[in-house]
Amino acid sequence: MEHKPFLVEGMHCASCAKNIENFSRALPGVTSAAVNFATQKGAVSFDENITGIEIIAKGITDALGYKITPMAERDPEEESRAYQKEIRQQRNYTIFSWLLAIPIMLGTFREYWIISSFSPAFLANSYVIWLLTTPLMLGPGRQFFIGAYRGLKHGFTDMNLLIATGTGAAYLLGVVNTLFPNIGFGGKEVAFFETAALLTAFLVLGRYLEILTRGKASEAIKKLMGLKVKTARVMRRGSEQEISIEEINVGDLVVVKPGEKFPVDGVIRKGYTAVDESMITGESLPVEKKQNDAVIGATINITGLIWFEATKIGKDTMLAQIIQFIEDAQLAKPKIQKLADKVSGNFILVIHILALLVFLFWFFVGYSAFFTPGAKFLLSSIALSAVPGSVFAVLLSITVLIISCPCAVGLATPSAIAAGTAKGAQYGILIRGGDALERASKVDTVVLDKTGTLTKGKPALTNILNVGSLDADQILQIAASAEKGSEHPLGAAMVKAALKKSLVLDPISHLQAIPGHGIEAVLDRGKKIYLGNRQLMNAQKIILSASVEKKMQKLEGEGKTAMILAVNGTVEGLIAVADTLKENSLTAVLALQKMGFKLLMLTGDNQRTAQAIAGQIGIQNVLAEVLPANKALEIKKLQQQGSVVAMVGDGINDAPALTQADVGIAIGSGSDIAKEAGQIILVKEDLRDIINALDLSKKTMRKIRENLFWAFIYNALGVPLAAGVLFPWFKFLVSPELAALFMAFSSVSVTLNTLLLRRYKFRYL
Amino acid sequence: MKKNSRNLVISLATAVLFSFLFIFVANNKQGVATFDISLGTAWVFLLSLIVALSLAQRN
Repeated sequence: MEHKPFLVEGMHCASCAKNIENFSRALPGVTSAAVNFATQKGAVSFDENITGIEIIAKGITDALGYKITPMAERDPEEESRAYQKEIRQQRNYTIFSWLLAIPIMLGTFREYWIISSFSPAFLANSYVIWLLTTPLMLGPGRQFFIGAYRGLKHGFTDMNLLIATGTGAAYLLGVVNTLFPNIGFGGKEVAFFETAALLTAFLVLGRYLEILTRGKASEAIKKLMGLKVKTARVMRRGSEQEISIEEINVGDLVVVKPGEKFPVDGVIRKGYTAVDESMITGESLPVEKKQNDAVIGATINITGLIWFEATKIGKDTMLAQIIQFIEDAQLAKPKIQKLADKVSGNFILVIHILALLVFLFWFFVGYSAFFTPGAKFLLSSIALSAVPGSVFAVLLSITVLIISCPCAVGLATPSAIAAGTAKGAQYGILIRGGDALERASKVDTVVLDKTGTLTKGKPALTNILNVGSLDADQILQIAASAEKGSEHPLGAAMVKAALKKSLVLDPISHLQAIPGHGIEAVLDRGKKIYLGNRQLMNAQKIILSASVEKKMQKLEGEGKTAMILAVNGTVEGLIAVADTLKENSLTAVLALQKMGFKLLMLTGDNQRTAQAIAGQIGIQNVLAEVLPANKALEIKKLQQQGSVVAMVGDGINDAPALTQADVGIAIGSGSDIAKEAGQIILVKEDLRDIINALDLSKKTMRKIRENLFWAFIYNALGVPLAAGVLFPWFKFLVSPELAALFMAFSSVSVTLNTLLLRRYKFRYL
Repeated sequence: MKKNSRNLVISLATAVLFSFLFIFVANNKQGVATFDISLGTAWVFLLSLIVALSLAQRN
């Protein structure tokens, strides 16, 4: 099964996205399809033995007329140029429309107020207005007719058809009234050209604003793409060569000077530096890097000259994976979207039925029952008393068509998801789309894995207790000398601590590991060392005093692993090693508790160690000695009790539990984002990002709800107003022009509301 | 294309039917002028054609 993303050109409404999805799903071999109207991107999953992305793309283009470019073939610069071209075109259309619409208004409204004092008389001539309206319809207005025609030709209906019906009808009424003023449609007094002209001008303005704001939705990805480096200096045949980034191979030695970006992911082979990783991880402070440390492509080498070995290139780099992750995320729809999809999918049908009913009501009943000569449209020059009932009913029907375009409904969810996921990505919080956002916003229980999540996962030296004649440094020096060659994590912790204290380690002449007990070693100075647990000491008949035993028990009670050091048969000291808490674990746990989440720690470790760690950070509920395979079962039990569970753990080792949880949060993923099981991936090893991620999810979902509420309320209020529900009492109506203005601003207001998410500040940075 | 053509024919037939129905009802209503019926018929034809096309497209 293949999954391929693609770019779409030519979408103008949510129903376009729906049409492409429906069409793609019906193609042979295609199992799923998703299209995001806000980001103008889509993706299909298909059986590669039956079809291919090129066949699907061609199918969509041939059948529906949208231009489909598979993502693999896209050129970001070309994409940006195409977007800029679209903005320029709509801006020019808008300027052109208003240059014509203003004199049309001046001519039509000449009778009103002070307009006659500066509006020349010839502008009021209906032939002049016709002359001015025609280029507006044929120029900027043409796109709606072409879109509607293309849709009908390919057997589908979209928003263009609504607009084309409305503006076309107004224009034709104008032509008929101008050429045949006595036919009975109101004559030259009510030419309707200004209705057609203003409708088009407002709709073009709306489209321009929509494109401008829609572009902001995919800005984050464009920014990430802009981080890519174009060239790199690589050591080839003993000399430095500048080559394009595509020519770098895995294993190449790449040279990066201070101030330059690392072109791809790799491991430092020579040099020492500080690296600005903020663009990928959101970490604001530079990170120190030395030999054998990993570097991420697109991060900035600040201080030192570095030689590093390329380990990941092209689509395997972390940057490429993040971009891919976000693009996929923006296509994953939350359940709440289904309602909006249903509305968008049916709106052409429903609105035309509604428009038909409104027409029939006003034609047969309403006009004769409620019309009075004083009736008027808001902000319109049309003298309603001059038009017959049929024209009146058609005008109301047109207004319903125009006002009810649910562009805002179509934009509400995808634009918020795009903004939310992009905001997270900026700070190293990758959220796998709308579904993950929706579930994360409902979480009430957070289950934290212990090792590697709450703790560093690597034992560190915590205590040195002298019980004989040696001081603490001497104890550490001897123990570290004995453990120097050991690969055991406990030994490594001691050696690390000794080196940190700049202690000089003695050479050893004999070393023997005693599995499960400790080690036996002879230092060059002739000292015979035993370092290990009680069993080792018992086996060697080394007696532990009551006070040593008491100290051992105290250390073990704190969840630490205590080792005894005996030199030449005498106990000299105790060394304790423990997995220590990560820097921000305590802050994160306290904040999560304060926010009202039920916390639970899950670990495979023994009860005592687990309780010790839990005690340090104040977690009451501990599930210890849980085998990795059973972690998922424990999560399931919680879910059966009605909890909505977020599991925080290692993305690869805890994969089953992360998958079982309602939201899996993988922390400190390194560079293998693609392999992660979590719905939320925290790039940084900072537990406080759990709070940031859950909070961002809540805020994004709130934004989606707000958007949907405003979009629906707009239609719920606008449609009855346009249908003339208030007319029998208040004698005024919404004119088609005003309907166009409302429609344009409804989608803009939804997008602007979404853009406020960009101003959202994370609690912890 | 075959499906599209079939949809178009069915939709046109439906729109024509609705238009005739409109004319019939309008003609039987007192005080409705001919031009009102002409305009109304055109509008009913257009809207019912689009409704029929949308319905056909869904099947």
